[in-house]
Amino acid sequence: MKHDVTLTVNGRVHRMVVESHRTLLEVLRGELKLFGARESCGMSLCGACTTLVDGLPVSSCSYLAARANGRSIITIEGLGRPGALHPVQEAFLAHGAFQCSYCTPGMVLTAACLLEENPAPSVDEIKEYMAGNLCRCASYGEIVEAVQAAAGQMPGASAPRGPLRAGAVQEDGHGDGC
Amino acid sequence: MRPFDLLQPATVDEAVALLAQHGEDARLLGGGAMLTILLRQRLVAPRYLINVADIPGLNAISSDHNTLRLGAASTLRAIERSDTIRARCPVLAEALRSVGNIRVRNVATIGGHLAHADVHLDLPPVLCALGASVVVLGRHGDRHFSLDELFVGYYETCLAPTEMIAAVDVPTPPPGLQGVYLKYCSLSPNDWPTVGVAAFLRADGERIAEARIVVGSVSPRPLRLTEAEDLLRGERLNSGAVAEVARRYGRAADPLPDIRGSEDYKRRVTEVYVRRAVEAAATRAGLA
Ligand SMILES: Cc1cc2nc3c(=O)[nH]c(=O)nc-3n(C[C@H](O)[C@H](O)[C@H](O)COP(=O)(O)OP(=O)(O)OC[C@H]3O[C@@H](n4cnc5c(N)ncnc54)[C@H](O)[C@@H]3O)c2cc1C
Ligand code: FES
Ligand code: FES
Repeated sequence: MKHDVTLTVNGRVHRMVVESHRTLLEVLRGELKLFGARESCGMSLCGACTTLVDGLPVSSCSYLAARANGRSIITIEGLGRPGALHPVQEAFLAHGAFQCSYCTPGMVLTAACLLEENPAPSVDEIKEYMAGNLCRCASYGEIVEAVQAAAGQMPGASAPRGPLRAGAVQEDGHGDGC
Repeated sequence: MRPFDLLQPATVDEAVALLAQHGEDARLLGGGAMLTILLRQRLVAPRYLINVADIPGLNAISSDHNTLRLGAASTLRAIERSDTIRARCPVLAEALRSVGNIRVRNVATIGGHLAHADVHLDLPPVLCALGASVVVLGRHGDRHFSLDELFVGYYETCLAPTEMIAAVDVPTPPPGLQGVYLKYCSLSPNDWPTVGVAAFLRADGERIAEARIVVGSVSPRPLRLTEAEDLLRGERLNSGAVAEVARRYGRAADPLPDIRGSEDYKRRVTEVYVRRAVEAAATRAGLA
């Protein structure tokens, strides 16, 4: 069965037709050519495919694209822009929080959400929130350091802006990212 | 995934009508965290999926004086973060923090969680101990089942193929009932439980007025031994009685050997975790 859907991806509105059995990950990579979300386990275990749907991290490998109709989707491509990176992205660079970087988009998006919810998480809170994002290169120490460092840099930590939940910004062009 | 048609009813009545129409050719879709895996592995191949997760209002969490009602489409994360749940059923919120990972909890629904009826679920022991029940809709109208009635065996519930869970009702715990959920994972720390124990105690002065102990993952249905609970009732907390209760649960456990441990190992872990859970509940109830 085909579904007419409207997906707002990184602030850009896409009207498209998706089949019932397509996952959000297939649509992002196959149709929209956004390759930041990757597939690894395909079973909600690893976090390589992490995508924000209405501001919440989900496994796009296991989320039906048709369910995303009318929702706001943010992938790593929409979190920051070259020259205007998200604080979490800056911190990952500064702390060398990756080796191969396969896990990095998922790690960064999950960390960005954590900091939206909890602007000053403890190390244990970081580990608990991010336990479902696996890094095969075991950069965990640097990742936790980077998230802690980013916590101090989040803009407007006192006034929640909810940018990760941002709806449509404009029909084409870029969203305001985060 | 083999192609299927995703049907998106706007109300529970429509969902129930679609179930009646398509019968065994249809499957309900909750958060889909589990079902999409089963679909990809071709363990199930329905022609229709009926999406109940996005039915407006079915994710409501509401309460009156006696009952907390969780709409079947409430996500595990929404329940975990609900102020009402944290205030009235803190053990449920605590147990939820250990379920899978954040992405699973953001999509998985309480209806799908219970309907899946895997013995390794974290919430059934807690919800059984709290006396929760499910509201079921289908061709036969409304039906209510206690969780004890709902769970029949491995991956099996008492629901007819044309029925859906519409809500979960949790009675407000009586004042003074204090508990814990202790989860043991023999693989990674955010794995499904090897053994999960919910223990609740209520104190009357220095004596135990009430004990509720339910163990998950080690038998075809959540394991509750009322005769063992009775050994504690009316008594002061004493290590001999707690050890005997724990031994009885260990003996009654009937676990399947798997990558998380042998039968014998799981029985022993059951005994140790029942003891620790009762001790922790006693501390919270002011008995230790
Ligand atoms: C990677 C991963 C790790 C997990 N780890 C844990 C863990 O540590 N502890 C734990 O307790 N659980 C764990 N779970 C399971 C999770 O908690 C949910 O139980 C599971 O995802 C099912 O919920 P769902 O809403 O996704 O249901 P779905 O996957 O949509 O459906 C599951 C089943 O329920 C049926 N169903 C759905 N909604 C209803 C309804 N309203 N009425 C009747 N039937 C319905 C479906 O037809 C299907 O048979 C894990 C799941 C995954 C994918
Ligand atoms: S690929 Fe989706 S969680 Fe691993
Ligand atoms: S950097 Fe290689 S998987 Fe994390």
